[in-house]
Amino acid sequence: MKLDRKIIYSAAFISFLFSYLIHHPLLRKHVYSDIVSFWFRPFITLHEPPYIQASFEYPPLAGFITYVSALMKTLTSYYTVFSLFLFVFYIILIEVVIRISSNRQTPRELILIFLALSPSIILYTVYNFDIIFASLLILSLYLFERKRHFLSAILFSVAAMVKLVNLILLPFILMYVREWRSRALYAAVSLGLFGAVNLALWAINPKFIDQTYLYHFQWGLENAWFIALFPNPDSWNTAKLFSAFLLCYGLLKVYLCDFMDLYQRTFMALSVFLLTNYVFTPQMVLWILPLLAILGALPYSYFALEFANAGIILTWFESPNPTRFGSIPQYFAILRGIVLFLMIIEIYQNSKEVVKDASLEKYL
Amino acid sequence: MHRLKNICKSDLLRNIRLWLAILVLIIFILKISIIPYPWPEASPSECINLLPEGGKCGFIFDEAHYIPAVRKMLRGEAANNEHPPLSKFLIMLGILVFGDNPYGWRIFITLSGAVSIYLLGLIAHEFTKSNKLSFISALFFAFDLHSFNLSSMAMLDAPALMFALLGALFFIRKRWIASGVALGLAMLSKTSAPFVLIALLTYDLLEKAHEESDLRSCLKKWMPVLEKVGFVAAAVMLIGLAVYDYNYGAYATPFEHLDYMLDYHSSLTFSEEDLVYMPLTWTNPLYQFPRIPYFVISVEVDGEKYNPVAYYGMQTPLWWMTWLVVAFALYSSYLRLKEGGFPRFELFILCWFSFNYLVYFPFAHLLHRWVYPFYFYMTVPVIALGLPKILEGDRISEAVLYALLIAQVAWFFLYFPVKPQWFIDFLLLVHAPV
Repeated sequence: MKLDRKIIYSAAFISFLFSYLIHHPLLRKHVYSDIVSFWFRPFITLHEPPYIQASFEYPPLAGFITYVSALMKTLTSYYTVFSLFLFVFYIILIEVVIRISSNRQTPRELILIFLALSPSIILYTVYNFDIIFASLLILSLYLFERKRHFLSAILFSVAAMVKLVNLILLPFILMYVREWRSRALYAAVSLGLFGAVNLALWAINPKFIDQTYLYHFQWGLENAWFIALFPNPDSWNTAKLFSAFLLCYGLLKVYLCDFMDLYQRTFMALSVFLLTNYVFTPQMVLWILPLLAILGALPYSYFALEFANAGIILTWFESPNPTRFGSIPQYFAILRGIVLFLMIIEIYQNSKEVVKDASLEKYL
Repeated sequence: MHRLKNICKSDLLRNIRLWLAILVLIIFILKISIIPYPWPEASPSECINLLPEGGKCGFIFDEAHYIPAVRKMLRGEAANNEHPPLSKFLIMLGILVFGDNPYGWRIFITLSGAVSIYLLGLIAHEFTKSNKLSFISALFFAFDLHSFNLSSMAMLDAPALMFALLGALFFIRKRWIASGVALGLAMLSKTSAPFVLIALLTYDLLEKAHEESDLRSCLKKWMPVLEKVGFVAAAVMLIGLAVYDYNYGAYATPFEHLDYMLDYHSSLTFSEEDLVYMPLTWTNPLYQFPRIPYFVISVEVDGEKYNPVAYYGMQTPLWWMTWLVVAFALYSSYLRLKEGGFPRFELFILCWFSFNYLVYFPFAHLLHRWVYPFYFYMTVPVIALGLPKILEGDRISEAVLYALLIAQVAWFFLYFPVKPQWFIDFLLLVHAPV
């Protein structure tokens, strides 16, 4: 029997509500969220537009949403408006995943598990922009699959304006476009819109690129499993080189794989990014949960991944130095890295066996 | 007479390995014969931290860094961590077997230098299938004075090159894992060895690009090579560093050790007022770097001043041919590609040359990283490889080839680092530089 979508929506609504409540700033012992921390930045209180008068380390759409939410006068109303934005994108995500799953005939129960009941959904939906990014990306992929390439490219671009990481997926999507002309058009639209917005902001504020994008290169290792190899923070520049090498290698492997369909490849590319990047904040797991639901797989490793991922934030503020090797959150991060690696292998093996007809031809 | 003819025609004499082995033996004997010069006057314990002045420790050139480091390592202290440890372990092994004296310090480095000649001959044979060309290549390299000098000192370069050439030989024979292991050992010997790995992988990528019609299939064929060679090499290096770090308590992980090496080597920059011999001076015969005295003893007898012991860093006739070999390789590659073939030999030379020599141009000119002419030691083998190939064929060019070979050998003996008295007397008699 097919699970009624109302049940999924109800569960999703309750999850979201729960997420909203546990992070609510008025709650005496609320769980930390980036959203609430943004409120205390000077540009919010001074009502300065981000990128133009103030720096903000997230891409333009993220700043725009923050700015609009911050037009509210109080922290509670700011938090609620921000959450409403997140809720809209969350619901869009649920709907799109239901539709894709119906087309692929994958069990709806998995949507319930991955997108409503996962601890990560509860802990990290009302947290940062990741649910918006996931929603826009999945919608873009869905439209792409329905051959609505132009709209897909626009949404791809918008997704990149929430999380820059989206750009690494472009070559993988282009693999599924047959003609060079269409490929060029897709690339031009998706990069063009993103480029135009960023160029405009750069023209207004020449420090924009530094403050928004290059800023991230100064960060050290955050929840990366290879902190075990580079325990001393002085060695983290080399750790970043190591990370870049692993990322290139992993993405190349995904690119060269023959038998994956669009969603499998997207899942693999994002997972490789998460596994190899020197910053793997726990909310980033939201990027891959919808894809797991779409792939119709419930890997054994999922449970351990969720345990470790939730453990990171729940122990973060209990540790005096949570980013250092040897702290409890970092042990969780290492466990999560191992588990994610196992998950990648599991999905890879499954995709080899299950998706026999999902070669590139299906899309071309 | 008949029997002599038979011997000449026999397979034994046509066996390139035999000829190479004889050449290696000759060079090894020459190297062994000069090992005791210079011999230390000070005791080993005096030559660990603050070295006494006047060359009393008997060190040549950078041995002053490595031998004290090995002595510390023998005491259980981590030392000279900015360089990988394998070459130093070879020096240590020599000391353990032959004692803490020049024989102990230099024996395995010397052996590595001699074995490199053999390996180069085999590589040449892989490409040319010609015993003559392979042997001439080996001769050019064997009698390259600078290479001879450098591989007679207790330094890191000779083992690194030996393992790199071994890795290259396996690589050409498509024995990927073995190649990875050898290249890993090279990387464990000296920090510049990864350039050889990059050169070989680039060479293979170009070959695959030539075979395949699109980039994706090319990369698909290349990835297993990257994994088998590159990853195995990296694993060997990391395991080696881990063993060292664990035993000496140097670093928590081999990755942290790598970080220190990278940091250290990128911090070696020069400023405007420093005198640096830029990479072009290593190969330009018209504008050469001056002869660098690594270790020189001068004496004056009956008003005649001469240097019975003189280890120099200097160009040789082979080095002067560098750009000719490169130009030939480029032109020949172009012709071969035009015909639809793949210029294996030429691209091997070009890739090796690019990543082991040209790479120092941006390092020196853009990053202002210190560079030294002895870095060219890693490139000399491919110049020796290419030169005979250019000049093979017609009689005139072969005559030029033999003339160059004679010049190379003459140069070698003229500047041979430790000269016997009878040879000095002869050189003085003919007013040659001594």
